[in-house]
Amino acid sequence: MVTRQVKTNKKNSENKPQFRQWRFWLVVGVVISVFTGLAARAAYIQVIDPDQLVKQGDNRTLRVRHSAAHRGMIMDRNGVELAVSIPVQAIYADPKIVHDKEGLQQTKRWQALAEVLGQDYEKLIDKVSNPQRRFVYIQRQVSTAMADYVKQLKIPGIYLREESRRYYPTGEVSAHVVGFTGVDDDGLEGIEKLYNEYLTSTPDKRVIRRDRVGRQVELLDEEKGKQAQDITLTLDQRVQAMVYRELKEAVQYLKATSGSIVVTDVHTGEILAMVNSPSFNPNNRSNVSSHRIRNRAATDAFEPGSSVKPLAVLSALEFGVAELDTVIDTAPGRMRIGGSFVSDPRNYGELDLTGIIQKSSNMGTSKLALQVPKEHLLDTYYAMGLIGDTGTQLLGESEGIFNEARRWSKFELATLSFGYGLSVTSLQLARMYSTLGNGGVKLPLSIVKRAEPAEGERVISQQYAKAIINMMESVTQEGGTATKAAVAGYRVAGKTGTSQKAVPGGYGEEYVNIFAGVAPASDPQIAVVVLINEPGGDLYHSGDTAAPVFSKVMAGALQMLNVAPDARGVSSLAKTSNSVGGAGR
Amino acid sequence: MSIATVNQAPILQKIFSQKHDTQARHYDLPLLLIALALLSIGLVIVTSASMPVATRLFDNPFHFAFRHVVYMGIAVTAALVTLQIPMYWWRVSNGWLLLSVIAILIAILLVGRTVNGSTRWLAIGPISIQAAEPAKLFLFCYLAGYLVRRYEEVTENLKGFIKPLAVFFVLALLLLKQPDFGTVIVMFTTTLGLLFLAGAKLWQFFGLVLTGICAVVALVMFEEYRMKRVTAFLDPWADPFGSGYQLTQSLMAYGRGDLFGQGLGNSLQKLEFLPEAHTDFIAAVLAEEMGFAGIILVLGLLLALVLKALRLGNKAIQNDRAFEGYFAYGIGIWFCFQTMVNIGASAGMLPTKGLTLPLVSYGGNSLIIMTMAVAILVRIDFELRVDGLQALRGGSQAKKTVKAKSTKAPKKKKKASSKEVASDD
Repeated sequence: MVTRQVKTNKKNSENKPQFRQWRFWLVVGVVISVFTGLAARAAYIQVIDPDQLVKQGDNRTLRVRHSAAHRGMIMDRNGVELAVSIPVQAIYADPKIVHDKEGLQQTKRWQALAEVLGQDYEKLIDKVSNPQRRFVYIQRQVSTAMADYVKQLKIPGIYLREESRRYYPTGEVSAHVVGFTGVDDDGLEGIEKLYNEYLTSTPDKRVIRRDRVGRQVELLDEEKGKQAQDITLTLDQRVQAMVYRELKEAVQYLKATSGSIVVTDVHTGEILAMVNSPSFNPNNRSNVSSHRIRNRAATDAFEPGSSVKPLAVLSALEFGVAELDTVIDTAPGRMRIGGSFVSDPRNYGELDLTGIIQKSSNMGTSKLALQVPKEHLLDTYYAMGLIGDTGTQLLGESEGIFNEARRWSKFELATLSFGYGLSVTSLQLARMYSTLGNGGVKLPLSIVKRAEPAEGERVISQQYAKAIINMMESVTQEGGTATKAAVAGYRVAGKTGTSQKAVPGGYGEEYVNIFAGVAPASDPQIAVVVLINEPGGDLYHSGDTAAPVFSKVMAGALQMLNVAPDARGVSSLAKTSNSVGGAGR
Repeated sequence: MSIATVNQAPILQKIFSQKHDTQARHYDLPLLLIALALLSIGLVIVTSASMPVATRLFDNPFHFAFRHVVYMGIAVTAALVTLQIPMYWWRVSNGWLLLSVIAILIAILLVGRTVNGSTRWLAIGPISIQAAEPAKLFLFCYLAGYLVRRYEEVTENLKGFIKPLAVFFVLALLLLKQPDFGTVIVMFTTTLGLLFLAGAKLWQFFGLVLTGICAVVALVMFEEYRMKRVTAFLDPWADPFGSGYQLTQSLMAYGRGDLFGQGLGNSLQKLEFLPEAHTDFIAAVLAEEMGFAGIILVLGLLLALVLKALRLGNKAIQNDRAFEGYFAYGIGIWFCFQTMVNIGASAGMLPTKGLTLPLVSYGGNSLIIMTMAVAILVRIDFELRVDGLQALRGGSQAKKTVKAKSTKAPKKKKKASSKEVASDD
């Protein structure tokens, strides 16, 4: 038996192993206190005071991630993109990591980086020279291809970050309307700035737990950002491009300082095209002087000259001091009002209302204007939208210059009738002609497509509006001041405006040439305002400068918008087109 | 109805008597259950903790879990074999066991496989043996045998006291060569505990403790990486991304655990933040996923295991089975110390030391040897119970009774017969 064998093993020892009570209990005590100690420690760091540890853990695992936020698109009325966001990369450096990993030792890679970015090597190194800093942009908005190259350079401490860059496919054509954004994707000009809030999206925010390599483990909180919204403009990019081409050509040909063209749909007040020259490339704005960026059609006011003459006739008709068959004697082509003279270029003799418009007689409009009360005359200017804003809310839009407080002398009222004494923008003029074309119902102009059509306001009777259109048609006909504004196949109604530019102390040698009109005259659809500022060549009469441009723009727009020709004898289209074409040159 | 009731009555009686007739059981069921519980918890936590690293290294999340299951299979088989071995065999062959371990340790130093700068493995075909684990068990076995053989010397004079220390010193030298500082510390502590329990003179004992502490301090100062570990332990937050990395990550795991944990599988620190999540820092993952409750459960099970081992040692010594008693003491102290170092290190109470959590951590060698140690405890208990029965029924009849008992409880038949083989020896 076992017992026996144990005994055999120790048969020589008197002193056999025995249970030592106090030692055993001491060991048991130690064991229990060890386990109690472990439990107490665990309780302390887990239950009693884990906050600091949890916080440290959260520092390493809790992250807030933002999804890439893209800006909304800007499109024309047909959905053609005018401004889009494309993903690009920003290159940035963490100077601390660069120094910790001795990234600066890799001179060759830094040189390659400087070279590909087109930066100075010394300056590049200087950017990351301070090891205290943790974030420095090296270059922003670099293309994906370049970013790939930089990635492959594998310089420690150099990282890429996704961002988006605004790209304008239509370039300088729509630059003034659309505007542009800054490097941080904030609108700085044009629609981009006006509707910045609307176009901007806020990124989705997710609070996550990540593992050591950055993968998402747990989604703790998610906050949907504001979705970016697209904007549809009233512009028709086809018309816009055509108009810009014509204007650019004309401004160059006429050696003009600048030019603007506005094309509107008379029934809706929508702006179909709005261009200025000179323009700029919104995709590359380095070295662009600020005057090129200005949307002159909205910001610059000029004395409109004869282009507002229809208003004098209109107010006389409306007030009843003239009938449609009234004849005004403009002889001898010169009259004295107060201490000043109003004159025509030559003595036109007796003119009916059409004649006054056709010949652009200062005498005729002055006489008509002086027959109506001052308030009524000014009211007509108000009513036609020449004073006050046009409703587009465009950035920097001018309300024109008109001194209401002024006591109007008779002479001043006379000059007002042929477009001096107030300044208007091309937009305001476009609104006036749109109202005439719309049968006397005034609409606010719009650049952003409305959900609901705008509510119109009748400001003049349809009968007189039609009559004025018919009178203005004579301008482009044989004997008118702007036969070059005629469009083959269409009846065109318009009015020239050649005004001298005011300089301190009087009027100088520079001119503003305007031609504004609507077509087709039988049922107007489109209003066009062409403004050539300071033509520098031999030509300075609107009939020779603005009118031919108007003709081409109007012809193109009518065709693009599928407006049916209304001219009689369209069968002889070829012949007419030849003659107009000849006149256009 | 009535017939059925009548028929059922004897069956129920039988079941009742089977359940409550404690005489029928010849083994320590609670001990087995504790060990099984620890193994099961270990499997679950190892699986959970090893998944991320297994996915990264082997593209198979169950790589380590599968191996753990295989090791458990081997461990249970080894335990079943161990159960068949009478304690007598251990007593007579402990010297040889120790010699064989020393031989393997020398072999490892000569032709061992080096991983992470430590030469700890001896590769035999596809199997790699980490001799440090059996070395612990066999040293304790040898010490138990020595204490019984030279009981008088140990308690009476210095020579008897120094001799076992010389053996320990040889093993320590071989292990430090690998280097495996942790195993040396476990051996030293257990040796100390055994000498103390065996009744070594107190002045000698404290002298030894002092010497040991001096040696440990010297060893720590001598090796820079050990020094670093100690300083990192003293203030882990001084360099949380360098030397304090493991410990701070482990502490964060504890902190996130709170009372009931993040839930099984929800540990964040195991996601590559915490290296060695399934071995040295298994307690941290346990703490994070099961919370303080999980830690308390595992600590409670281990404490019960250790106390059972110590009590068993007592009982054995009181029953004139001093070898078995010291062996049980040794196993108890060993388990206790490894638990303390493993959980203490992960909770920031002790410097980090690569020691496994008994029966829980991943690691084949440790798992197998620890399970065998539990089997030895069961065997010791079993032999004591059989002794008790024999004493109760009277010497000559004992054999017969045992046989009768074993037919009553067929499950135990095998053990009972093996016991007989042992007694026939």
